[in-house]
Amino acid sequence: MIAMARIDDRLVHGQVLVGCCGPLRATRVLLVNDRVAGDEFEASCYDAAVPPGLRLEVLAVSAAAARVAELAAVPAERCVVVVGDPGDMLRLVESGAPLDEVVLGGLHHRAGRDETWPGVYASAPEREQLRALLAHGVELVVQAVPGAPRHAPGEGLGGARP
Amino acid sequence: MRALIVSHGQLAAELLASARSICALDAPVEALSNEGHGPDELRAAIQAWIEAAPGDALVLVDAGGGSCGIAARLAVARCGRPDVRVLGGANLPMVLALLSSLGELDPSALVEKLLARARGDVADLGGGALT
Repeated sequence: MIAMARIDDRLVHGQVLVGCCGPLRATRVLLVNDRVAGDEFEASCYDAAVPPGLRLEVLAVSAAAARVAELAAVPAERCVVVVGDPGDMLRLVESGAPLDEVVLGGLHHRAGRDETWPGVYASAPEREQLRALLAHGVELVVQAVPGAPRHAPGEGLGGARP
Repeated sequence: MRALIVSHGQLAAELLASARSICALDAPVEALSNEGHGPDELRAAIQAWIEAAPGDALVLVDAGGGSCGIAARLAVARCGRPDVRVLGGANLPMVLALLSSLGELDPSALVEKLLARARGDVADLGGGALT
């Protein structure tokens, strides 16, 4: 099953490994990112961070939708899917990844981004990509980690979903 | 030789300030927080620090597997600087040893000492009721 699909520009880090995988009893983390999938050294850095009992897979966006579908059908697997930005998450959904809910867990400040929700930054194109996710029927939640307050996108994306 | 401590929040700055208040030693050590930095910006900031001067340098991070540790490892790799080492698990004993030994030991000996000091203080100190 897919325990969580998360947008986090820090990809796999403590908040994901401890803050999310722990409470979700995750067995696997699927890191979906074209750059990391193509860089053995960078992939190894993330792999080194994963604690025993948790497995990390790194896939390019184009290959990930099929793998998400496979893992979604295995009840014994509790998979956390991590994507670095709304654009890649939209590509993943448009490629057929069966995701009902996407958690916007971490988008940090950088040039071009505005604080769209408290502590969560997004650019205008990224907000458009998030609206497109909603249009695909994906439930979008703004939440740092499981157990933290959950917020609907609400005003940050201009109100009610289409 | 110089050093940079990279951490979440203000941990790096507070570790450095605390260590300096304990041993009153000045050494070329700076602190960097990941606050306000996305992963690419943090990596770039560390890379800029590395490239600011030649020669041996150390980057200490709070957690090797966290965003600071990964950013540091990637920054060093991108700089192509084998004279820069990254140490994870920065704690007060490590930073105290850093301040007291930076410039006194060769890089390998310094790394060995910092790791030993950091690990050595991780211990069960006992406790329980007085008898």
